[in-house]
Amino acid sequence: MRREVAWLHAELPDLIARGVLTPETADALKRHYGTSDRSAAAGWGQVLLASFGALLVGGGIILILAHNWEDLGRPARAAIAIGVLVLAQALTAFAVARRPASVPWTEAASGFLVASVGAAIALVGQTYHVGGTLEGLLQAWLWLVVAVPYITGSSLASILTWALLLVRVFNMSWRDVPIDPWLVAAAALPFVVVRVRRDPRSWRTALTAIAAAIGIFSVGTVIASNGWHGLWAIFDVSLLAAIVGAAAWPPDRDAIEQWRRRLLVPAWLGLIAVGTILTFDDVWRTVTVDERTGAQAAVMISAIVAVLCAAFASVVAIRLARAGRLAAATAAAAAPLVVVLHAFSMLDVQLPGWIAFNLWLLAFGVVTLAGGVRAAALGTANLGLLALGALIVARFFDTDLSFLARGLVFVAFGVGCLAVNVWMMRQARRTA
Amino acid sequence: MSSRLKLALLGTLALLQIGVTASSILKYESTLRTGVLYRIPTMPIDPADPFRGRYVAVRPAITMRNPIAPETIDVLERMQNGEKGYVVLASDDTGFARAAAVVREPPPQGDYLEIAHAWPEWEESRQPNTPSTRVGFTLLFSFDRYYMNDAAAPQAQQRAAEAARTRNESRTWLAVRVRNGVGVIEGLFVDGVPIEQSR
Repeated sequence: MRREVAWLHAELPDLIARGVLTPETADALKRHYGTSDRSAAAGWGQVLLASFGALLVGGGIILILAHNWEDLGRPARAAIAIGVLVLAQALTAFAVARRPASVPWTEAASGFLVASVGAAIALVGQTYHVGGTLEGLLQAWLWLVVAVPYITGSSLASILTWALLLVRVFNMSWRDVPIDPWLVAAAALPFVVVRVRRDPRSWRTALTAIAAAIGIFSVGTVIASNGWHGLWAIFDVSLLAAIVGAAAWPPDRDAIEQWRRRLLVPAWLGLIAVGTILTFDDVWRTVTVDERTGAQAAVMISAIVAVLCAAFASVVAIRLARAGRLAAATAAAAAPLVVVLHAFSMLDVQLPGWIAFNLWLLAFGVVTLAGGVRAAALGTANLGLLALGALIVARFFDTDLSFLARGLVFVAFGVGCLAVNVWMMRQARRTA
Repeated sequence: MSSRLKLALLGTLALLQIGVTASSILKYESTLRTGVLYRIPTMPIDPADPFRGRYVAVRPAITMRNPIAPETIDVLERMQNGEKGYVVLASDDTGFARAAAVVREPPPQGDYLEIAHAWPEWEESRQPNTPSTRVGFTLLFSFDRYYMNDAAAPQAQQRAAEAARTRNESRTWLAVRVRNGVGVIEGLFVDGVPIEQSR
């Protein structure tokens, strides 16, 4: 992106001289696209180093305290717990008050504050032998830091919050699914939305959006897997389809914002993986309704989020199809498809589920491959090949064809993949 | 958001963070200073927590044997369905904690603790095709970790296990201070010796 901005900056004087742009318009363009000079690259490195340093210091303090120093009495331990916390708060206050424009300062201080809160809670727990699981510690930690990004504007604090939420859901009790992971996600998400709106082109926004997507995906999947057979599939497909839809927006042009481009490929890959799982008939046979279905509030929230994502993906799929972007439209269309097929399965009609997803994955692969070839986009074409390859490998496991037939199909498909890649690279070289 | 507003919000969040940490310290410290001391039998093992370090996992338990009053059984059976229950503590002739009463609501006075789990104890029948008999309940508590030095915890756990294996009369117990429903572990003992000294 910086290369394109540098090109634009170089073109502006000529455009002004030729009368194509007024100096005011050129300034407005400069402001809109930001700087392209080396200072931006240096800033990037500084932020990364400062954030990494703060994380290492915070994590190191937690590990040093976890050693459990026998010689330290309870008052000394209490002083360390409060002292580390106050130091981190003072550094954050300094960054907010005196260095508000310095991204490295803000990111490093906020990251250190998030780590220090964890260190303080952990040290108190260790000193007084407070029982309870890791889940309880993470729960308290999350609620005490979820507001930090809003106050400091730190992406690192937001990413750490999502990372802690990820650890939290994978250490969750299974007996009664708690609702608080969804509440924390709801409290943390508006910061990501604000960042995406205010600074859509920065890499920090892209990282924050990716962390939020992974966090929500994990919370929804883990909770949906508990007490509602097959809900995980609706949630995963709907969320990934909605992310593809949001990343492919607007329908009439390719996305230029970093976060959209960075989210698109992982969501696309996730959709191929989940779509492949849904081509197996066993997955649909496990969809049953019993007294636990929808009995837990957290599971119901997963279902509601899934349906909202599916509704959004359906609307986007129609708009993308009208704009001729068939690959993205097919990806987004997986969401309404999984909702309808899951409803059939709940009524004991499981056959359409796996047949439809075999056809969907086939169509998705073909359309994506064709779109990639047409646009001379090697990456897109390979995503299409990946979808088709996944379908062939999946059927390798549950068809009664002979090994000879399956082997011939594998060889033919492999040769096809190589041929498409070689042909596209030659085309690209010719046009260059 | 203006710098002043940010600082005000940060100040509020900082007070909340310090408040939560300090209130925990005060609660446990006051229990340790003024709480009543009870000894609860336990059995140690040695795992680690990624944030709080190595600890000896303890399973402090008070066993209630039949005959048990019907209203107590009612509370303990309700606990199997997720309801809460509290045990009022007293000391037995050997100085160990025993359950003086089990109630559904926190009692207005006396030393009590919330019961984390109440497991029924069963005795298998010696007669074939005869169901097992419930002979009592085991009450478990939320304090289940005794944090120790990184190097000392595995050794201490090994000593405790050896003592239990070689001497039948060996006993491991937790010294717990109890006040207003809060229990804080003061020490872990193997045959009367603090586990830190039994290395």
